[in-house]
Amino acid sequence: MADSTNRPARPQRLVGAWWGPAVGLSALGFYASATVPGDAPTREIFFNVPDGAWAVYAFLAALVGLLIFGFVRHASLWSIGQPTPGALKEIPSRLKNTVRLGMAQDKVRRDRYAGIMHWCIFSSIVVLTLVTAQVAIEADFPVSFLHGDYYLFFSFYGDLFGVIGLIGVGMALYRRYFAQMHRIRWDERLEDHLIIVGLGLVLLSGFFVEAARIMVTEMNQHPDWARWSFGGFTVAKGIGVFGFEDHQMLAFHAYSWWFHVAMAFGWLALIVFTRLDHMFFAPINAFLLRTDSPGRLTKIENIEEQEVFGVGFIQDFTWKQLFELDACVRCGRCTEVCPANIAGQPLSPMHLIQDLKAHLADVGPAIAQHRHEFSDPGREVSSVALIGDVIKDETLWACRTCGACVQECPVMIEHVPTIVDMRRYLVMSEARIPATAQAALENLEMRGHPWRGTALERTTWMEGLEEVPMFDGSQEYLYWVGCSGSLVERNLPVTKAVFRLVKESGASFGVLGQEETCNGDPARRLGNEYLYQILAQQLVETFKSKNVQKVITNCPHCFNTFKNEYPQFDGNFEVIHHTEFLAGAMQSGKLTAKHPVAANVTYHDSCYLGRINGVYDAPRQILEMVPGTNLTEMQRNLSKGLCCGAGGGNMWQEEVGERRVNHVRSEEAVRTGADQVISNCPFCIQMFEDGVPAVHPEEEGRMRPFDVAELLEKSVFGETAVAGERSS
Amino acid sequence: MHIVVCAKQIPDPETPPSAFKIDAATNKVIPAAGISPVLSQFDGIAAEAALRLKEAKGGKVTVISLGAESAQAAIKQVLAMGADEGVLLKDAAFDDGDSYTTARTLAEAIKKLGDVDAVFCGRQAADWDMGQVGLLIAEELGWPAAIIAKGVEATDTGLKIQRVLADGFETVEAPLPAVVTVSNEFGEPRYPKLPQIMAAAKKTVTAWGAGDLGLDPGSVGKAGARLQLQKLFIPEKSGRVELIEGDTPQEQASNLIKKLQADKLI
Amino acid sequence: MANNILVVGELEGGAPSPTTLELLGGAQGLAAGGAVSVMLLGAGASGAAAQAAGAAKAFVSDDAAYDTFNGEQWLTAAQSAVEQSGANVVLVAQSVVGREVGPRLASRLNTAVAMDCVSVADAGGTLQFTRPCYGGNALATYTIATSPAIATVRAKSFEPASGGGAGEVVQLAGAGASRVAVLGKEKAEATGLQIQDAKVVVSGGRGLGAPEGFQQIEALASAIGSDKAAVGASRAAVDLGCSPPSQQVGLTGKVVTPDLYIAVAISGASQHMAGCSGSKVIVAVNRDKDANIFSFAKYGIVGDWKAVVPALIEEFKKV
Repeated sequence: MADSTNRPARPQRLVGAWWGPAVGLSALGFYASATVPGDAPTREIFFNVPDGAWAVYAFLAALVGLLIFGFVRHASLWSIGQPTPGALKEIPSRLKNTVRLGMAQDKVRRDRYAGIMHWCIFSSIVVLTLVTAQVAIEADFPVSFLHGDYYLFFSFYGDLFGVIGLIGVGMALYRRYFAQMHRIRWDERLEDHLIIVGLGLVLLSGFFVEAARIMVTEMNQHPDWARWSFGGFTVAKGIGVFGFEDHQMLAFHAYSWWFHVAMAFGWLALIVFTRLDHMFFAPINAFLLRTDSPGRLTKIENIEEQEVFGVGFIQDFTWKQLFELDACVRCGRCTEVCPANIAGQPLSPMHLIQDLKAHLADVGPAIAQHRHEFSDPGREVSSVALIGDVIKDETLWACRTCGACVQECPVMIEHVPTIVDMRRYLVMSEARIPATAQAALENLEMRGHPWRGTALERTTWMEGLEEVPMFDGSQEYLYWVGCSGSLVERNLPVTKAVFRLVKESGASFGVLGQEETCNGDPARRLGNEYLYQILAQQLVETFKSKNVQKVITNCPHCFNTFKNEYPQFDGNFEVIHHTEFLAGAMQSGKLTAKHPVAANVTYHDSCYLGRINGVYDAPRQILEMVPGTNLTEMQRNLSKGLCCGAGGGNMWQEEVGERRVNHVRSEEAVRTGADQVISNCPFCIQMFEDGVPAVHPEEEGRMRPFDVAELLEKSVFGETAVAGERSS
Repeated sequence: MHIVVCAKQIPDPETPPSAFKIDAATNKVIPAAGISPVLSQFDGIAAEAALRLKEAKGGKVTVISLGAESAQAAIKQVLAMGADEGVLLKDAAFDDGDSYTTARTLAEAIKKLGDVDAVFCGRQAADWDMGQVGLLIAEELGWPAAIIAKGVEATDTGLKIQRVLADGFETVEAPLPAVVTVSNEFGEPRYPKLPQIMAAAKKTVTAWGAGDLGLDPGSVGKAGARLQLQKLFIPEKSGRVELIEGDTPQEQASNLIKKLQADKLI
Repeated sequence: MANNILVVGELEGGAPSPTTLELLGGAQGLAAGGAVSVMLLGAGASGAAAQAAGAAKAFVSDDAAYDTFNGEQWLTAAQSAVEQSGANVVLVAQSVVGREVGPRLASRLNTAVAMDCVSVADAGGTLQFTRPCYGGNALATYTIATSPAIATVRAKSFEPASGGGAGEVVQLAGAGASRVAVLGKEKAEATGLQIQDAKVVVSGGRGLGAPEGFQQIEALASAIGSDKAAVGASRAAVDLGCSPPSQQVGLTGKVVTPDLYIAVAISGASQHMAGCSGSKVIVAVNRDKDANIFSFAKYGIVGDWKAVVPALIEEFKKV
């Protein structure tokens, strides 16, 4: 593989868990406390602040009260939501998520700068909280351990993490106030300044308190102790230049102590009022994160007995969906990677979540009150329409369901199901759909495929191929061609290529021909869950009646819905995408890429094969094994790849906004200088067919889109053989 | 106001040409594999027009279809859009009729319903493309008619209808009861809401045969037809593109126009 | 067998319309010794009778009330003309008049009408009416046993009649009562012809380059006739700002099924073809002879649109 240095870091281990050693060290401290001699290094707790003890506990009591108040207030809003099925199932994997995503913060580190910054602040707060807790234990519990070597070490790591915290604050300040316009400022609020400046002041004042104490105590008596508190020591040295007298320093110490304590508690109180609450909500949301595939949308059970379809009112979200609104920290990562947003289309996942959150705060209390008094859902309580007023229709339709936002969200918000839930309401309850998307749905209902106006039949691709075996249950694989693979002119060569390659591999397989119908994926993504369920149930029955066990799909969308969603309908099949099958056949020697294909290619990860199902390697392995082919990766690739623009039913919608997503993506592909853009999805290929000429108007030297299978076909059978096949 | 919508189920007009086949022996279209019949698009638009009138003025909409059992689907589709009742006219005696027998049968059903104020039909069925059933119903019932409507509104005394002409449109007014045929210029039929789809699924469609309508089986269907279909066939088409010859663009242009004239396209 | 044929004529500018003359031409051929007569209604009808080539007899009414077509009024007149002429065949144009008079006349006379015929032929004494159906995918041939046999006939199906006008003029009654009142008529606005409703669509694609190229497309459409030809565009052309989105033909635009679709500088991407593959005849003009559009087209011109389109405009103007 040529250049894949852009590979985003994959989660490896719990490197974020620096708080672990800190806990260990504290335990060590307890142990050490039993063995230290009497005159060992230590200090007086509440030195110079005789009333400090009760003041601290009063603050603490107020803080705990405030936290409880805040939580109850939030909880009363979440409680208006619907039940969240399975939220407390699969506890082990949920706990794993809590540790991996909530505490180790794997996703935060997908942005390296932010990862380092956040780790500095996070670890500093954790360690300094432990430091403070130890001080409290030393002062008010009948144990004593802050003396001797442990005290010196305690002084050292306390200061170390104070400095680390300040580094984090510095990075945050730089990013917020000095860096170029940054995603974190797309929705900047007063609290953002308070949080960061406040934390800086807490940390800094801590060092000043320590410095003042050291100056009047350790500095004179035990300068060798003082050095362990290197932060306070350095500040003390600095202040020492001015030659203050002890009584002045004592007064300064008292003032700065009160300042530090008040700031610390004040800052902690921000948890209740600001996005600082993510320090609790993020790990909890990690716990609540789905444990199944992100490619699976929720099934509406017993759909025929429902009265309301999808979410048209805030209280129709599940409580988990409402909870996650509170987890949002407005970091903008979702919006930054959103293909619609990149193309200037009217969707910003962050603003969508924030708008929902604000709406919940607006109408939630009244709904909760109404619920309390009456037993009905209270859908009339809000005079503001969730869809139309709070969230615009076109915002919902602009979503590609590509999952980039979900992938990037550091607090594990799942935007896509929330958006699709609202689409469901628009389609099923309101029948409010963009005209061409409606036409696609109608076509699905009437004709079992979304390609209105096609002049092709499901068997057209077989013309000119010798003997296409029909699947009869005796073969190992069903080759599922799909609607695009059979009804869209451009995709027929891909279907033929896959067919010829699978055949060449010697696999036993068959096709369904006329008996194929849409598996329902576009209906589900467009919000017509009812139509989806009808189509899915029919197809599961067909598969079962034909004894289908293994399915090779042409299309990543078919692949995803068979693999991840059909189990909801008791359809459990082994599903592989053609790139996986072909890579496997090559590795086991059943297919050989013998003819060189001289091509400079770039590879586009389709969302539903790549990001959503994690198949990144198989197609690249194929490209690697084709002699003469040289792969250059695009800037955005693998899990950070950009959607072609067709996902989420946008293949059948007119785009609204500044640009088309496929033009943006085509530009990125063209920029690699490759002469072919290779993909694995019939939609992507069509989008590039349209997009590349738009961004590269001259026909001369224009990049061409192909499927992996088309490239491999040339290498397995020889370019001339393939060309002959085409023209015949 | 009680409006009847006449809805016909037809072979899918979007059947790919390669799948469109005719049985020469019976002069019938062979149903293409895997392609289900659909509601004729103009009838869906007629239903939309009727429903908008119902929404504006109140009343009810009854959908009637003459056809096989499968035409239930067409009726259900209009019920899902918001029609109140459905009637299927199904009888072996009705088979293979022409526009006249179809209109006559439908007219008898409308008489049987009794209190009908207006009948809305598509401007033509998208299979045979005749465009006369609506007018023939009007004649059978002795009602006035306005055809190829792009807009219908209720007035105090009747209906005000905008009709599509070759070079514009005209507004006409007809007293009730009346027959209106609706054209695609009216606008797209609505997408049914799921609760209505569910409700439609639960509704029972009334089925009437020739006996129920007091029709002599010998006067309807093939027996009563006045138009005799002699031959149904697919015109020969050359599969490949015919590239127009010519030494100059002018010559090519003139040759093309000759071809188009021969095809009666211009 | 001799046929007595009545042509339900229409006036255009005080003279029989071109289609009326075509019907008369057809009637001449089918009469086989029978009489051909014509009905003309409206101001100047008596005078126009002299120009009704091929008709021996004209049934006329000069009542200006007939100038605005009203089905019930025309129907009464037509019924009377049929009775007086003793016609066993009635031909009407497939027009606003024919669409309404054809079926209702058939009903009143207890006979049948074949609508929208492209050919009426005498096969051994029996008239065979052939008409397209199934969206143009098939042709159907009918016979009508009852008399008179009525047909509405598509324009350009017959050669226009030649020879002198009607020698004998029979006056019909003036316009009678009608339950349907015609309140008013509006011309379609210049851009009023909706692309979905047009008989002919001329579409331009990316290959036109700049918006100036589209002016040529519009000129071509108006040369064909602004009442029947509309302008379409591929998505790429809309993206280039050459054409408003309302004219976009394709999967995410309008789906059109005109009789004639002229695609200029359009490559034929599936996105676009989904919107026009239902057209009866596609004509492609493209520089690239391998362009996908040619696999959908019936006729093709391989050449630069800059040379071909002006030539087409010139030739269409001559038609």
